[in-house]
Amino acid sequence: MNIYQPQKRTIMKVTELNYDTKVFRIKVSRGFTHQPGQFVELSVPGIGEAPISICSSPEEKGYIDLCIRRVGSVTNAVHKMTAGDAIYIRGPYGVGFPLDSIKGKDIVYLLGGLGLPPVRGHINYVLAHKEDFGRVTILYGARTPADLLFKHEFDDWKKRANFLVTVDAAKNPDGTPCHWDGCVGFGVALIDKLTYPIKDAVGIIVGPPVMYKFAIKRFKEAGMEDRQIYVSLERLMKCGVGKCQHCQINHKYCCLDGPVFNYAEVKELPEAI
Amino acid sequence: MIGKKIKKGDVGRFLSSLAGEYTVIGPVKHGSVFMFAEIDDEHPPVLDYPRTVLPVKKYLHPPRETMFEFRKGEFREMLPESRLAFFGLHICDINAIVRLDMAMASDPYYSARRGGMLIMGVECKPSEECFCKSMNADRLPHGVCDLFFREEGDGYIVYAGTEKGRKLLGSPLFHATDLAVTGISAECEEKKPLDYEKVWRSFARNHTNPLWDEMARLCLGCTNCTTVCPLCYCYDVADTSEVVPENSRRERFWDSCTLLNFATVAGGHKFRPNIKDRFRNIYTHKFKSFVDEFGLPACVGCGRCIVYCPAGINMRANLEKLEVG
Repeated sequence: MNIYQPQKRTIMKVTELNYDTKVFRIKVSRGFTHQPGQFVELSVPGIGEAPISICSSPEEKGYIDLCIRRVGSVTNAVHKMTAGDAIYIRGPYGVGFPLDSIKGKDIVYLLGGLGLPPVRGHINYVLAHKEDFGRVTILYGARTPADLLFKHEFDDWKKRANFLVTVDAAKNPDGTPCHWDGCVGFGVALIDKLTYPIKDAVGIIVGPPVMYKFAIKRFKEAGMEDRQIYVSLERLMKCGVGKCQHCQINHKYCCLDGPVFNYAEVKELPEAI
Repeated sequence: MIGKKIKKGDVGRFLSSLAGEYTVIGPVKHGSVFMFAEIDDEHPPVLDYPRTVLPVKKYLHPPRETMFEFRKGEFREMLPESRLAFFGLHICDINAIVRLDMAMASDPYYSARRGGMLIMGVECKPSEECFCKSMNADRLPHGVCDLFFREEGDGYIVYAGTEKGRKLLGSPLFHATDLAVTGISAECEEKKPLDYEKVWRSFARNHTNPLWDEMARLCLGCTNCTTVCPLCYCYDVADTSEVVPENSRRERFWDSCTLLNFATVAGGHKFRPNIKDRFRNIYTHKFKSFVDEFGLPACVGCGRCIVYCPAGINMRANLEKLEVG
C-alpha cells in the first residue's frame, strides 16, 4: 500500500461554528481508531493536502470530526463542500495526548484559539469518564467573542468541569467594539483565577506558537514539574510520515514523534518551544 | 575479491549490451561541467571527471514527479517504471545512495526506481573540495556496488560486489586476471579528516554559538547547496489542476530548508525567520539529526556544495570550526 494514498470518504455533516470555522463530520469505518491529538492528511483533489487534527472523541465510532478554519487554499476549498461530497484522507498520524496514563489525576487544559479543536476529543472523553479522573479545568482564550469555538458545548463543560473563558478584546473580528460580559485578557492569565492548587495536575497546552513559553512558565510557577506538562506543537506536516522534513524540529518529527510531546522531552530541544 | 579485465575499447560495447535492459546513465561532459546523462555512442561517458553538478538523486528522487493522477474520483498512484544502470559513479556517490536508501526506505516512488537499479563505480580523481574521509564515505560500501572499475594499463580491472555483478562479469568481454583486492577506497587527499561523531556531539553545545552568525553572514539562502547535495531530499507536494478537478495531478518537487517558507505554517507563523536559523538547520539536519536517525551524517563529502556555493561558503571548513567550537 502506497504510504501517501488518500482514501475516498464522504462528508456526513457540516456544522458552522463561526464566521471562518466549520466542523466536517467524515464517515470512516467502525474499525478506525485514533488517539485524541492525532491528525489526518486531508485532500481536496486539484487543490492539495493539509494536516488537520481530529476533534471528536475516540469513543465516537463510524465518523471523525475535523474542525477547519478557512486559512489556506485547501481549507478554503473544503469550506465550499457540503454533506454528501467526497473528501480524501489518510492517517491518523502522530502521537496524541495521554489518556490511560493520567487516570486519577487532575487535568488543567490551557487552550488558545485553534488550540481547542485538537484537544476537544480528549476533553469529551475525560468528561464522559469523570469518575476515572480528578478535577478537570478548561481554560480557553480566543481573540474575540466571535472567534470562540464549540460555544454550543460550553454549558455542558461548565456543568461537568471548571470551565473559564476569556477573549483578548471585546471586539468584532473587524475591530469594532462588541457586547461581551465575560472575561477580557489573555488565556494564560486565567491561571490566576484558579481556586485550588494545580501542582499535582497534568497540564495540557495547545495554542498559537507565541503562547507556549508563557503558559509553561505559569504552570511551572504553579508548581508543576516538566513531565506533568504536555504540549501539541504546530508545524507544517506535509507528508505525515517523516520524509519531507517540513515539520522537523532538530531530531524530532512533529508528524511521527508528536504533535503531542511531553514538555520534559522537548524543553532542551532548540526551536521547539 | 578477484577481478576480471576489460579493454578500454570494449567498455562501450559492454555498456551497449546493457542498453536493451537498462537506460544507461553516466558522467557526460556538458560545456565546462559534467553531468549524469544517458550515454550512447554520441554521448560517451567521461571517466576522468571531478564531480557532476547534480548527483544521482536527480534520477532516484527527481526534481519533479507525479505521485498521483486524480481520475474518476480516485487518486491513482503513478509508480515510475524504470530500469536504470549507472556507470562511472564515484565512491562518495555510491555511499550517498546507501544513505538515501535509509531515508527513503518506505517511499514507494523511490523504491520503484531503486529496485532494479544497476550501480557501476569507478575510481575517483580527488580534488581539494573532497572530504569523504571525514564523512566515513571513502570506502566502497559492501554489497551495493554491482561492478567497480579500476584503471589498469590499457583497460580496467573490474570487481563484482553483488550476485548481479558476478553474472555480468560472465560476458566474454571480460578476461580472467589474478589481481585480487580487499576493500576499495577513495584516494582522498584530506590530511586531517574530521571526526563526524565529534561534530555530532558538538551540536549539543553549539546551538547558541556566535559562530553561526559568522558562518551564516555570507549565506544567500539561494538553495544551490541543497540542490546539488546528494543527500538533501526534502520535498514539497502540490496539486496541479487542468481547469477541471477531474484532471488533476499530485506532484512532488524538491524543496529546500534554506527557503523562508519551508517552515512557515498556515496562518503565517515562521519558525525559522532568519537566514541564520535556516543555515543552522541544514547543518543540524545533516550532522546531528540524520546521525541520530540513521547513525551516519547526511553528507558524503562530495564537495558539490563547496564548488557551487556562489558566496564561497566552505562546509568542511565550517564543520572544522564547529568540531572545536
